[in-house]
Amino acid sequence: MNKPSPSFVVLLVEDESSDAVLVRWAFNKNQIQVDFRHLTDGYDALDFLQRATLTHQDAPRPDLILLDLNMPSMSGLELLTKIKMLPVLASIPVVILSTSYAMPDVLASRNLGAADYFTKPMDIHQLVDTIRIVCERWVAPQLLIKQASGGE
Amino acid sequence: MTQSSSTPSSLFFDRHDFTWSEVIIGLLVLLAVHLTTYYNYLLFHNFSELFSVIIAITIFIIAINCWKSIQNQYVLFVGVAYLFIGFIDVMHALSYKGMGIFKDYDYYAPQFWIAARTMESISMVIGFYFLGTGKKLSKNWLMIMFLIATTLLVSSITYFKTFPECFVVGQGLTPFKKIMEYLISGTLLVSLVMLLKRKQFFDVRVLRLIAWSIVTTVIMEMCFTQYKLVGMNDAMNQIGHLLKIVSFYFIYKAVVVTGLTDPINLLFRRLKDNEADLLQAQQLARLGRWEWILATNECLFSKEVLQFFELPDNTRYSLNDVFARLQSDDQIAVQAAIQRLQQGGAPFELKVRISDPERHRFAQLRGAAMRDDLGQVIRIAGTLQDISDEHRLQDALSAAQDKEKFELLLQTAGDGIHLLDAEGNVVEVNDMFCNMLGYSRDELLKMNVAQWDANFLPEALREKLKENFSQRNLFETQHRRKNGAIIDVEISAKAIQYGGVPVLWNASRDITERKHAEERMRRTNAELEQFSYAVSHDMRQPLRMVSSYLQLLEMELGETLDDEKRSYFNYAVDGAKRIDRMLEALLDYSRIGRSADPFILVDCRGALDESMRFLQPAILEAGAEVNIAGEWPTIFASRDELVRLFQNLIGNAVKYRIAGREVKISVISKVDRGEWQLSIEDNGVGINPEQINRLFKVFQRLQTRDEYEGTGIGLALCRKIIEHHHGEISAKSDGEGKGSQFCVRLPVNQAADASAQGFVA
Repeated sequence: MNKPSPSFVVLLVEDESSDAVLVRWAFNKNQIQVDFRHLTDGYDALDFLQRATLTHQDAPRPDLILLDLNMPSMSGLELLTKIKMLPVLASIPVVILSTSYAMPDVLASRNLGAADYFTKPMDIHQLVDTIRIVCERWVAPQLLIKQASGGE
Repeated sequence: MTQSSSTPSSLFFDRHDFTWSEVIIGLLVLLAVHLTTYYNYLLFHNFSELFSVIIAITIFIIAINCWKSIQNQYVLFVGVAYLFIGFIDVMHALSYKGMGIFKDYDYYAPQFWIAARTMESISMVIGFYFLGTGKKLSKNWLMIMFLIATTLLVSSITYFKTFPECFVVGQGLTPFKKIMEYLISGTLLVSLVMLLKRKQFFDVRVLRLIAWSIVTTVIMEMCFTQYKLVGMNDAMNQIGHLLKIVSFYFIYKAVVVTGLTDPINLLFRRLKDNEADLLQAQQLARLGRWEWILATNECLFSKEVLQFFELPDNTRYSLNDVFARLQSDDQIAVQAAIQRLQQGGAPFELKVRISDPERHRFAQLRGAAMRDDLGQVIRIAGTLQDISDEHRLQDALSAAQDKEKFELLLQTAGDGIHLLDAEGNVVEVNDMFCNMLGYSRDELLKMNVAQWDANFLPEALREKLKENFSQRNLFETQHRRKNGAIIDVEISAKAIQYGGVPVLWNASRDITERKHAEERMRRTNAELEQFSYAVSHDMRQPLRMVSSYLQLLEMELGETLDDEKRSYFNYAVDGAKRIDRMLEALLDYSRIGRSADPFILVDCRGALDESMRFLQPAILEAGAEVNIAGEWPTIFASRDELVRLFQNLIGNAVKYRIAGREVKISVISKVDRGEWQLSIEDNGVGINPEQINRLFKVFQRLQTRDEYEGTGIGLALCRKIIEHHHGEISAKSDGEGKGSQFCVRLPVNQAADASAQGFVA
C-alpha cells in the first residue's frame, strides 16, 4: 500500500466540493496514491462512465466509485441504480460515503448493490481512518489482482 | 295383590295355556308313538316311556336350575321327585317283558310301575307339607331322602323281593296291583283337593296345569286297572301310556311357568306397579321422564316431556329428535352430559331452554346412567321438569326493575343510542342520537337506518345488520344529519332482548373530531419525518465543514500555533460537534411517541438485558457493580423505547459517579396491584433537592460539562418515554454527593388501553 499505482482510478461523485477536498486530503494523508477523479453531478458521472466503457482517453474506467447520496440533480441512489443496470459497469465496486446515518438510506444502498456504506464523520481524524478502511477493503485487494493479471 | 286376581282366567281352562303349535306337535308325537304299536308293542312301550322319562328329567333339570326363582316350594318338591319317578320308570321300561335284561323274573315291570306311581302320588301330597312354610327347601336333603326312598323301593323289588307280585301268569293282574292303582288314584284325588284348597299359593295357570296333570294321571290309573294282558296290544294299556306323557307334560309346563315364565312376569309386574306409582307422582309434579336403552337404541319419552317440547305423542322419537328442540348451547351441554354418562360419569342436572326465543320455556333436565351387574351402562334415564312458570315470574319481576334502569341508561348514555329491528327500522332512540342527527324523536321512530347511513350500499347495509345481530360488533361508518352534513361515527352494536323481541342496540359515537385529529397527526408525523431527515442530513453537512476545516486549518498551521491558540481551535471544533450531538438527541426526543409501530408485549427483563449489552463497555470502564433483582413483568410497550429508558437511567448512574468511590447500582423491579415499579439507585454525585424539578426538562444540566459530558436531553427523553406509556417518573436524592434514586411506575394491566393508544399514535 505504500507503493500504490497511479493507474488505480477512484471516482468520487460528490456535490459538496468541500467534502471532496477533505476526501482527497484523507487519501493523501493515508499516503495512497491513486488516480483520483471527482465529479459534482450524477449526470456528469454517468457521462464519464459511459465514455470510460469505450476506453476514452480522458475517461479511464474507474476501479472504485465513491458515491455521495444527497445530491441535487440526480440522487446517489438513482445513479447507483443506473450503474448497476449497465453490465459493463456493474462489476465496479461502489462505496457510499454519506452524511446520513438513517437506516432507510443504508438499507436502500445495500439493496441496490452498493459494496459498502460509510458515514462521513464530524472529526477529520476519523475521516482519515474511514478512508484507510475503504482502501484496505477496496483498493489494496483489487490492486493485487490488477498487478497479477499483468496490467500496465 | 293376589295372583288369582291379576289373571282373570278360569280355574279349569284357559286356551292361552298352550299355543296351537304346542298342541299340534303334542298330538303328532302322541300319534307317532301310537303308530309304533302296529309294528311292535314293545317298541311303543319303550317310546312312550322314553318320552315321559325325558319330560321327567327335564322337569327336574328346570326345577333344580331355577331353584332360586321358584318361590313355590310344592313345585320344587314335585320337580325333584320327578327325577326319581323317572328313574323308576326307566327300570320299568327296561324290565318290561321281552326286553330280556332281567332274566330271573319276567314281571318286574308292573312292580316298578306301581312303585313309580306310588312315589308320584305320595310326592304330590307330601309336597303340600312344605308349601307356605316360608322356609327354604334344602336341595341336598331332598335329594338324599328321595335317593333313600328310591333305593328301598328298587331293592325291595329286585333284591329283597319283598314287593308284592303284581302279575301272575295265567291269572293276570294281582289284586295287590289293582288295589294299589285305586289307592294311588285316591291319593292323587286327595292331592287334587289339597291343591284346590291351597290355590292362593299358586298362580292360576300353575294350579290348572297341576290339577290337569293329576286328573290325567287318575284317568291313566283307571286305564291300567282295566287291561288284561301285559305285552299285548291292549287299548287301555296304550291309552294309559299316552296319558302318562300328557300328565308329565302338564307338570313340565307347571315347572316352566313357575321357574321361568313367572319370575320374569313377576319382575315386569313389579316394574309396572312401580311405574304406575311413578306416573302418578310425575303427573303431580309435572315431572317428565325420558329414557334411552342403549342396546336397542330405543328412546322413551313421557307425555310431559313431549308436551314440553311441543311434540305430538303419536310417534317414536330419538334422543336427537327431542333435544334438537333445545337452544344450541343447551343441545351441546346435554349431548356432552349424556356422553359423560355413557362413559360412566356422574348424574347431571341442567337448566335448558327451548330454541324458540319467543317461547319462554325452561326446564330442569336430570339424567343418570343405569348399569347391569357387570357395571356396563345399559340405560340412560332421567327426568324433565317444566320450570317455565317460575321463570316467567322471575322475568316479570326483573323486567319491571330493568325497565327503569334501561330508561336511565338510554338517556344518560354519552353515545347516540338507537335500537333497530331486523329490517333496520327504528324501535327506540335516545336524546343524544336525536341531537346527533338533528331529527326529532318522533321523526326518527318512523325512519330506517338506510335513511341516515352515508357509508354502506343498501346490500352491504343489510349484510351488516344481519352480521351485527349474530355477533357483537364495533365498526366505523358515517351518518348523514338532517341538514345534509356528514359525520364520522363509530358504532358499537349488540343484539339484545327488548320487550321480549330481539333488537339491535347501537351506540353511535361521533368520531369526526378524532378523525380530524388522526389526519392531523398523520400529516404532522410525515412532516416530522421529512424535517428530521433534513436535520440529520442538511444541517450536519455545514457543521461538518466547520469542524473539519477548523481541524484541517489547525493541522496545516501546525508548528506556528501556541497552545493557547490551539485550544481556541479545539473549543470551536468541540462546539460544532456538540451541536451535532444535540441535533441527534433532539431528533430522538421528537420521535418518542410518534413511532408508527403499535405497542407490543414486551418482556421488561429482556429489554433490560439488551440495554445492559449496550452499557457493558461503560460499566466495565467504571468498574461498576450493577445488581438486578425483583419480579419483571411483561407489558404492552414500545420495546425500543424501553431499552432507551434503561440505557439512559443506568447509563446516568454509571456516568455521574464520584471519582474514587466504588460504583454500586441497584436495579429493583416490583409488580404491585397492577403497577410496575422500577427503582434505579446509585451512590453517585446525587442531586441538589432544590434542582430536582429542573431535572426532566430538555437541555437542562445540573452538572458542568467539564466534569460530565452530555447533551442534557437524556432524562427529558426518559420522561417522554414514560409519559408515552402512561406512567410516572420521579427522582430522589439526599443531596449532592449522596447518590440518587430514580423511580418509574407503569401500569401493567391496562395493557389493552395502552395498545389502543399505540394504534392511534
